[in-house]
Amino acid sequence: MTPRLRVLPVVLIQFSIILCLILLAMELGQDDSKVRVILSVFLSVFLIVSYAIARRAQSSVVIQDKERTLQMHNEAMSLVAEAEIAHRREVAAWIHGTLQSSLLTLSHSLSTSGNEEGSLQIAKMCDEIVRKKAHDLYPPQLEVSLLLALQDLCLNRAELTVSPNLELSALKDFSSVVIPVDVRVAAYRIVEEGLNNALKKVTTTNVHVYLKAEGGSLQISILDNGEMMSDEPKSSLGFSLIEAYVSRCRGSWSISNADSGVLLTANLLFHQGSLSTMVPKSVQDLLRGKEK
Amino acid sequence: MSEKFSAVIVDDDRAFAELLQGVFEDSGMWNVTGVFHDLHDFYSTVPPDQVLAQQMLPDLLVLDVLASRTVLTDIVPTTGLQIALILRNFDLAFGTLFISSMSSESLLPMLKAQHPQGWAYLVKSPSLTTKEILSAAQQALLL
Repeated sequence: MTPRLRVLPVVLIQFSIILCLILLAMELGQDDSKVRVILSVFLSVFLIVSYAIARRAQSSVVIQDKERTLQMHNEAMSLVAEAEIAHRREVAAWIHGTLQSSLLTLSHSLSTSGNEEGSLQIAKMCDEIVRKKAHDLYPPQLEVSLLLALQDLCLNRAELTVSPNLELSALKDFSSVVIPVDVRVAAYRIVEEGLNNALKKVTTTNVHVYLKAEGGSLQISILDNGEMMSDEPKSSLGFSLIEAYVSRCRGSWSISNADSGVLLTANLLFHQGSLSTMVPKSVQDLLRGKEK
Repeated sequence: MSEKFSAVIVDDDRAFAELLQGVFEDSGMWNVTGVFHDLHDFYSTVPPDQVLAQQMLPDLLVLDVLASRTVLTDIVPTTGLQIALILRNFDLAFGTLFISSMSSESLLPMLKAQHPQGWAYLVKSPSLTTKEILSAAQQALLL
């Protein structure tokens, strides 16, 4: 239903009231001009107020419609992002597992049958093309740990600091925070985008990436010392990507000038799982045995 | 003849696990005491007692980082890295050789920051040689 049709009942009610008032004015004001003037003024005021109310109702309906459309758009974007992550993860796992394993066996068979040239070609393809493609689709480090994936991403490009509960050492006392895979992917892609933006500027000589996990939220900040932004950030594919990942994790993000560069921040929300649910029972028993 | 080192292989890629077993046994220096095709199958054999666990563990654990048949879901997988680290954190002494199709420059430095000795890492590749595997295995040993 269009906004115009939706405000139709309001307009009809108002029209009926106006009609009644006109009829009343005609009835009462037949012999008295004062009553006629008062009723005319009242009618005019009523008409103006009614018009304002109708307009307001219409714009409120339009805003509600736009908000609903925006919400549906965000939900659709989130579903697309979710499907994309799942698909990339699945394909990368197949390449890393099945395809690479088959190529490895093939290369070995060629080598044992004396076809060294063929074996080397397969090995080269596996190392230089297949692994890289699988990594581009979905970094397998994310399956292991967000920290490991980010260490590799920031290597020789940025300084990475994480809160103690994201460090590997937190495994010692089981104080590690378990970040779900979808949030790991979002964090990785946001850092990747922020890093690329920072290093695109020729003036950037230092980038600092900081991650902190606290109470079911993962805070990310990427600070560079490059040229500041001269005006409001323009919409770009990269920013749309950040927006999509952030909205999927019901989070927020911003980009602004800092004291000496540009600061990109993002906050992602997640359901905090405990490490004890991830650690095998036998290992938990071992820990309990040690405590005794 | 000197005593052989013991090794346990954990890799969900059966063909590669078999290949590794052959490499270790043919070298004459290693005795493969177990082959597992799932991380869960391996860690469920670890007894809940530090002394018994130490007795059961080999000199070297040859581990695929993502050696799990768990269906890919949103659930965070438990990986070989976490298991090896947790066991080492219990003061259990064994070497770990990670062999994975995952290529990571940060893996080894990160592990060594936790426990300086007892780690080696190789990327699964058709160009990987027997010599490289055996050399990495020696490096990973806690002697």
